[in-house]
Amino acid sequence: MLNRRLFASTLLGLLLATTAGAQWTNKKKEKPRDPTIRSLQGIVTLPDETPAEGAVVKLKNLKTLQVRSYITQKDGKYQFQNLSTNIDYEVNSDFKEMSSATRTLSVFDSRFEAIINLKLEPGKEKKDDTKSN
Amino acid sequence: MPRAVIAGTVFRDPGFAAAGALALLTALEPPAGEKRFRPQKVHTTARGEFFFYVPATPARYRVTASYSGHEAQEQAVEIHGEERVDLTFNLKPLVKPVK
Repeated sequence: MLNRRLFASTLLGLLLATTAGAQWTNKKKEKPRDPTIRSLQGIVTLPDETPAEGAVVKLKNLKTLQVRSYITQKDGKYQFQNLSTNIDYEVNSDFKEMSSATRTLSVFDSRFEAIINLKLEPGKEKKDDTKSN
Repeated sequence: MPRAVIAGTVFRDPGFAAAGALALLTALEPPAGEKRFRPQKVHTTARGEFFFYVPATPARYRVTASYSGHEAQEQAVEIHGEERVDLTFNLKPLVKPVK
């Protein structure tokens, strides 16, 4: 009787272990993060701290000097994906007659998801002679 | 021969990249030493980006960006030497007249 109970409990234990193991193996494998890729995001705000909609955020690759642009939406957010961890970048923002200070995303910044918020300041006007046809 | 780069990104309101938009480069004041500047025309990439190579001599250019169903925009660019100038266009949709 005792033997039978022992056998049943062992069997139950084994079954539980197998199902737990199966669950563990079925778990979706997370892709290892590529250590050479990072992203940058942030919020562009007006001098009164409210989000700036329609601000142009420019990200300059200091190796190739290429510039990538982004136009912020209602929440003032911007983001740049697939940036290299081995390259320095410069980011700044322009909106109407305002512009923000230029901030640097350095190779020494170890964050994979860096956050740089930009604050627009009046007076730092950028020459803009855009006109519509 | 040293060159300058006029590059830019074309967006369509409210900030989507305008892929396949047309960017046209014409000279307002041709580069020094050239009587005539042949206009250049390119389509933007999937990110809405374009670039033109121009001689690295002082000149003034006009870049016009146009995209189907949107108002065209133009910007004047001054080139002084071997440099890179970046422009941004945010094209507004054409307003259809109310019948």
